[in-house]
Amino acid sequence: MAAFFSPSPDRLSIADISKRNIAYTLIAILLVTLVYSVFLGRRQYFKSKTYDPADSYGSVITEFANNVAKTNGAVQEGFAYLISGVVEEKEEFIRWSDSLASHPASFTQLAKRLPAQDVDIVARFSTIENLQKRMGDVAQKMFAEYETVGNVDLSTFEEFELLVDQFATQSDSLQRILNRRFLDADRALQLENSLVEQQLAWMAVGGGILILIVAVLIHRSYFAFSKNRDDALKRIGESEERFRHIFENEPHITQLIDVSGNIIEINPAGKRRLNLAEGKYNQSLFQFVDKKFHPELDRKLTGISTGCGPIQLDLVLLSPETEPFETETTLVPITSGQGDMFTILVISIDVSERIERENELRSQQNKLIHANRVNTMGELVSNVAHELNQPLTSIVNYGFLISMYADKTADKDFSSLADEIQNESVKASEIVSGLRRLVSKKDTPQTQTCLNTLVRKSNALLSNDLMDEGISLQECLDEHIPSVECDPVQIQQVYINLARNAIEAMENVKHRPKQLQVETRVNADGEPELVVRDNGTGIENTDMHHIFDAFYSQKTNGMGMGLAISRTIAESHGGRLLVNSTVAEGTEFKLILPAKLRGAA
Amino acid sequence: MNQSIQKVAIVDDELGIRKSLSALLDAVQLESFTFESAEDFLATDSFEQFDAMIVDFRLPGISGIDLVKRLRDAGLKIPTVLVSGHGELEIDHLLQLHPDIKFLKKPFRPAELFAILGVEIGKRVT
Repeated sequence: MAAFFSPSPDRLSIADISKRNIAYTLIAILLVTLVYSVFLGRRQYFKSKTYDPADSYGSVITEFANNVAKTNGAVQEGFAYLISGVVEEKEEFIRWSDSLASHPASFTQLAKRLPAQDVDIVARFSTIENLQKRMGDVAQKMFAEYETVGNVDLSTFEEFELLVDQFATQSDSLQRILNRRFLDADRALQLENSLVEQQLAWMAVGGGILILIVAVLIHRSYFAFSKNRDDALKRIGESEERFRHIFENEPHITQLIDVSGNIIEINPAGKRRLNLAEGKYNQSLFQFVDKKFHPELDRKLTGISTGCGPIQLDLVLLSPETEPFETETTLVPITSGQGDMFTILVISIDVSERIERENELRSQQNKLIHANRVNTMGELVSNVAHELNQPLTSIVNYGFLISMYADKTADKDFSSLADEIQNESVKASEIVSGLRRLVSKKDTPQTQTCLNTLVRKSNALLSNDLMDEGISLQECLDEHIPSVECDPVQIQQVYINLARNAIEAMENVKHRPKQLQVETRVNADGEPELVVRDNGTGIENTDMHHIFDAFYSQKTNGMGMGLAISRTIAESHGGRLLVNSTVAEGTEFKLILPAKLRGAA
Repeated sequence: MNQSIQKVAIVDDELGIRKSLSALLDAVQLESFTFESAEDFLATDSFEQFDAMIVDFRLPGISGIDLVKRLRDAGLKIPTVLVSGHGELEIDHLLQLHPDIKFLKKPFRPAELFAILGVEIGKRVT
């Protein structure tokens, strides 16, 4: 049941969706930032690993010092040879001198290994190497002089010494420069490293802040989402409650069935009407439908789909306790949320009582029509009889006079002829009276009748006419009015006659609201009265004397029998029918019935 | 009704009835006065002069029965014959109240009327 009435899945607003998008975007940015940070960090790390200017300076300085030291060592060997004449010393020197050209850490080679190539330093390296070579060459020359002459030319020796001095000066100077460069590079490296560290630290802080913001946003949008969801659930719950309430209190038989007709749910009114025990409704709708209607219901259920609107059909339903009853049934397909699954709401309105009421109304109308016909006939004959009786009375009178005069003149034959005129006239009158007796309903059933009930029943018959003419009906009914013994059909006919006349009298009323008043009351003499009042055109004085006469009508389509019949009915009940009218203001008819039925009929 | 009846009022809206009844009363030497309606009758001040009245039950305006009721209510007990083409229920009621009022159903035989008025006509009633 609950799942069925849930009208739709959770609905989130556009705002919620855009908030979620923002959160996703931020998360993406965060991820990109993190990846980039890692990339930067890694690059920095490898950069410092693969290329360290301080390190290169260090190795160059070390080898530079080695080279200088070896040179100094060789020079010492050379001097030692010249002083001692030990050949090994000379050979050491020669080995050093020969290796200069192919030395891997020669000064020019070292210069190429420097991290920063600068022309001045490279030149200095070349200068030192030149000095080295010249020292080698001058030393060879000294050795040759020493070996051939046994003495070294002073000028050559001085040249050598000068070279050694220059070498020492130049190498010291370059050594200092290299040391300084090494320190500079080291400091720069330190600086760069600390800068990278700083950058990484900032990145970490920025990342942290971003993470925080994203976390807050996610948190907030989650709560907004969950609040929305709670609200939506609450709304669904409320609407569920409302639907449930309607379903429970729907006065007609209301069921929920599946497409094959199985009852899923039925409301209390339906359980009562179909006489179902509590909880025991896992049956098919078809069990409660008259067999004759099965094919139609089956067809409708097959044809039904989610897209189509409500389907109407007439069904006769069966209940184990009562007679089968006619219903006007409506099938409403209802989607239950997922795909093509749907259920059908079946509302059956029991129209049996309405049909019965309509039949009753119709039979009452038929009775009235019949009574009207009989009464019209009766009134017609009665009036003809009355009118014939007048001249017949005169004929009898004249016949009597002739007979009287004939007696005086002793003309017996003449007298008897005049007597015959009288006799035949009386016979004619009797024939007319006989005809009247034939059509008049002498033995109408007299029953105790409540005038108020009679008026209300009749008003149901009049309601269409009243509505068509735009007339408002006012009922002032005395609830304590005693019942009258009468023929209810006849009295109803009088009332309907009077009411119809009133409606017609108001046909041409334009500038005031049309009102029909019906009043029942007990008059001063204790007699029950029925008063019908209209605010129509009224009756002209010249017409007033004739309105109860038969065949007297102001209406173009009237027979002029209505009021004549009404008066006859009133009088046949021992009552009276009175009229009171003012032209242009309205007319009042008053039917007065006797308080108690007269003793003998 | 007593023998001293001389003047009779006839109240009937039918001219034919008024004429034939007048002729009938003339024939037995009774003086007749005709009125077309109850209103006409009431318009004459001197009802007392009438020894009897013949009134049609159904009259336009004030009906015959209402006329009789009014006169009785006013204390005027003029001997009365009500005539009507119908057998009216209301008449039964009135006759029960005032047994001296007579009723004749149209068409009645003149002898019946004379019998009520106490007129000797020396004529056999058939």
